[in-house]
Amino acid sequence: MSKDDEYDYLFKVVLIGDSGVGKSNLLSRFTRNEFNLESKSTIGVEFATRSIQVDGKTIKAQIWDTAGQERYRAITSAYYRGAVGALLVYDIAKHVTFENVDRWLKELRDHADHNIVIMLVGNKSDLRHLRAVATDDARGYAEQRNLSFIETSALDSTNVEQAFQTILTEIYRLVSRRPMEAGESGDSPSVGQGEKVIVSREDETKAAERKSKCSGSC
Amino acid sequence: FDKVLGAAVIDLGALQALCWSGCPAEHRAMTWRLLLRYMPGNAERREDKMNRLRLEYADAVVHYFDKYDPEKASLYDKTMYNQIYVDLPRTNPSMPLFQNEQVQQSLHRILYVWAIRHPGTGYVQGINDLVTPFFFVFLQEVCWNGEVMKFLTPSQQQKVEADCYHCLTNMLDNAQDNYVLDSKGIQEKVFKLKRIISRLDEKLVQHLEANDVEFLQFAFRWFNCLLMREFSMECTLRLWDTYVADKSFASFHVYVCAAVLLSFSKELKAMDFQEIIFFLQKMPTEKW
Repeated sequence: MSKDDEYDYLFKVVLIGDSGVGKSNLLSRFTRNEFNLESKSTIGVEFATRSIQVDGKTIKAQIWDTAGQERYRAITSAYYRGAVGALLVYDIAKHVTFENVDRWLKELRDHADHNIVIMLVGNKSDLRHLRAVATDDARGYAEQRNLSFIETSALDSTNVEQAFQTILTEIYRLVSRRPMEAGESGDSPSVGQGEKVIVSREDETKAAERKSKCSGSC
Repeated sequence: FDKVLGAAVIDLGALQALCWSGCPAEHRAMTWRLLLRYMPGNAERREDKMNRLRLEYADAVVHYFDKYDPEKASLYDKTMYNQIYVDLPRTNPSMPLFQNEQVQQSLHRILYVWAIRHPGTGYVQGINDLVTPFFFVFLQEVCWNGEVMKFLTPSQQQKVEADCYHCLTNMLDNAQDNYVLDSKGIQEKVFKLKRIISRLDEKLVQHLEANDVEFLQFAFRWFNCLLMREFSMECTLRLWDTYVADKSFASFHVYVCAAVLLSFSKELKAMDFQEIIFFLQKMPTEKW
């Protein structure tokens, strides 16, 4: 087994948002430190992984990148199942991609687990002169809905690492409060452990409380 | 080919049989136009019909594309127009030809008119890939060397565009169910692919299942883009020689996908979930 496969937690995360907002490049920046100017549109889903350390634990993120075009949602929403995190991406230079965030949240409500951790990501922050979505507007929107929020640039790398670190840490905090379920399976981690360590619905309420407290104070 | 194509009334059956096994580049444009039933086999009727269809396309461009106004356009029209626009720079980006602004404008017109005329499916991401082989072939016919667009006259460009539009239309008419709302055609074909592999290489299917790899995860794109994302343009053109010669190419494509997958059976059986997905996402087929 390769070194890459030794991990304490496996979290499935999905990347969603309108077409052309830069989901695939966020993923390639995070997992391979690459930005592809010649990237093609994602058809269906694509997959990548990377492991990070949180509190001395190795967390492996299994990230599913999805096609943005609305008509693909029937296909891509199948991948929301079992996901413990979602990065909902819009383009700070295209207001309509921010307007559509509502619809994406509804998609998550309809197809994802209730306790999925959602982070709103305003990508292409390098396009300062073309900015169409004010940072404060997006932050306010996120706060109202208890979402984490960050602005990134996959092109110049700003905050990409941070975005993934933050959401993975947040998921880890939620999950590690349940030592019973996370620690019980002593066998070697397998694909799908991400599903095993999902916090239960009972915890979800507490999680939501914690989350609202957190976003209120920080 | 010379003989068949030179006849006053072309024997399309004979041409089909020839093209199925590969068409020489210099005959490709004409052969594809004929086999896609865009150009009539009868030389006498040819010019009239071509002129009429090219004019019809030009009218549609004026009517739909040139008059497009984001303020007045319906939601459907706007969505189509913008989605195509977003995808233009991402269309076959490794070929400089498709980074040319004039070419992208052509593709925008072709795809938009196609989307408006096909409300049952609309423009679906990936169809932008499917128009490029036609564009490449019809452009090559007009001009063989690199700096093509500079020398292309407006009337030549219009012809290339119209030919692309009609050939794309006729080709996709045989694969419409791939692009309907729930991609029903693709789902069925992926299912069929799995059945075929089960028959031919049961161990491979078992291995994929044991590793939680679903066929839809990797094969969706193979059907949506007819393996264009996996193959070079050269390889795609050869494959399409066979596809334009076969009306039921969409079903035949399942067997092509099966052959591709089986060719990597040995490698795949030694891989785990992650390795399999990575491998199938970026297969070493670019040099095929």
